Amino acid sequence: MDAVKNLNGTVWVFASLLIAMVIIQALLFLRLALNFNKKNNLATKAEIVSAARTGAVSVFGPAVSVVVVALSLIAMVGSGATFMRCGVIGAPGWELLMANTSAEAAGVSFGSPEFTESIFVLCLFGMTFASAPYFLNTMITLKPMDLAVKKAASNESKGKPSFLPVLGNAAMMGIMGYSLYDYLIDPNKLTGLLVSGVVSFILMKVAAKTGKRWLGDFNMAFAMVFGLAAAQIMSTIL
Amino acid sequence: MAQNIDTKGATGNAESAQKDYQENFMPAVHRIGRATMGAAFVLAFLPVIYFILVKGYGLPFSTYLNVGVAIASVGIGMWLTEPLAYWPTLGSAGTYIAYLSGNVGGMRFPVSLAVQSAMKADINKPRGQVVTIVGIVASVFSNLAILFLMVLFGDWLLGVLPAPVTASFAFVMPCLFGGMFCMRFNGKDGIVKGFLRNAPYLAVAVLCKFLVVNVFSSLSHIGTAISVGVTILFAYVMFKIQTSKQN
Repeated sequence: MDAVKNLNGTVWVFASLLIAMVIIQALLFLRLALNFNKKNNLATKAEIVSAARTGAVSVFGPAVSVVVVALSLIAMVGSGATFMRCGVIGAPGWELLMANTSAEAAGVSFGSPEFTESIFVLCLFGMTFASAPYFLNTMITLKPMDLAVKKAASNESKGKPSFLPVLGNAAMMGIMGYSLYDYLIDPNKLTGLLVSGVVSFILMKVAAKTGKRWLGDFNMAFAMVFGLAAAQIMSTIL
Repeated sequence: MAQNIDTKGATGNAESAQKDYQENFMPAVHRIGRATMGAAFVLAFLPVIYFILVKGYGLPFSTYLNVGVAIASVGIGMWLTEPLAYWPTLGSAGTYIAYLSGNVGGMRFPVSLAVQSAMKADINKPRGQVVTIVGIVASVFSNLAILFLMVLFGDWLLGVLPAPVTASFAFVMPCLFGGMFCMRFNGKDGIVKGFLRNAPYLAVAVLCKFLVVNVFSSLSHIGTAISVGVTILFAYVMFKIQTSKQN
């Protein structure tokens, strides 16, 4: 894998540029939201802190769990490309698939002597190409969608019921239900799903009753730990 | 004027917030979103362009075309439908952030649900936008930090973690779904009614997957798109039946 090693340093430079863009965008939106909030007094300071904490801790499970996939990706395309691809648009599983698809299309397998610099660049191209249309999609469609919501809201105030909120919910259930099928037919996954759901529900009730905000913030993280443990125990028993 | 009484609780303050939201906040969201996505689009292809044009690590054009076609046939369904399917939960700012920072289904979407559920916030209201953006931005920084550590110390961590723990990572998605369903269903009228309201849609989507897996396996690469499309169509028919009943 000399090809990957040779280019890894350069890739890190480009990776840093792209990650910088992610950070800049996040900061711009954060500033916009905080200024808007300050002007209009919508959420209290405690609520803002709580939202930030929820965001920061909820990703912990998913972020650590991708380490296995991320490491195989490092073995294939190097640390720089892995950081770049998983910090921007991609998710490790998807990137792994795309890197493979690219190399296969060129008829080269990873680790073979034919895996040259050019093939590595081809994989980079493939991984980038697999995600770039998402950029264009958001740039084109989001603004018209918001205008449609605005219009629907004004129609609604005239007493016309709008399909838009129903559409959003149906779309979400369409996505989630499509994955749900896989979890329903696998007893381990189903156990994990049910246990984390129940734990999440209990935590929600307790948080509402006691008014302890941090319980709400850690809900997703806690539910995940219990769900994972239950699924793992189930898979050992079966 | 009598109609104004209907919007009870809407103080002068909330009205001005709504105005500020439509006139200043949302246009700014799209300005920032479009500019940063455009810049990132260029930056993402930059290493590839540099290696091919400057370093000369190119291949025949047909090879790129080949890869492009192979990937497009897998991705096109998701490229078109995924952002719009997540958008009703993430909001516009959230969708821009999510599709630049990635891990939408496993991180940004669950985080948005968790924040909105904990704060009883609606993404279509100014307050919901604010807390969702704060939550998603925090998740981006948290993920980047963890990812950076993983890239550097991942090998070591895998060695230290007991085998059952690493094995349990295979169940992350279903466990995420458990929490997400729970938060999604637990609305104003309780979790049971929320579940019953959503169950028909879920059943339609599960049926779609069943048919794609067992009958129309050649359609599997656009399965998500089909599922979303069919579920929306189903919802539209139900909506029409309901509204015509009311009239």
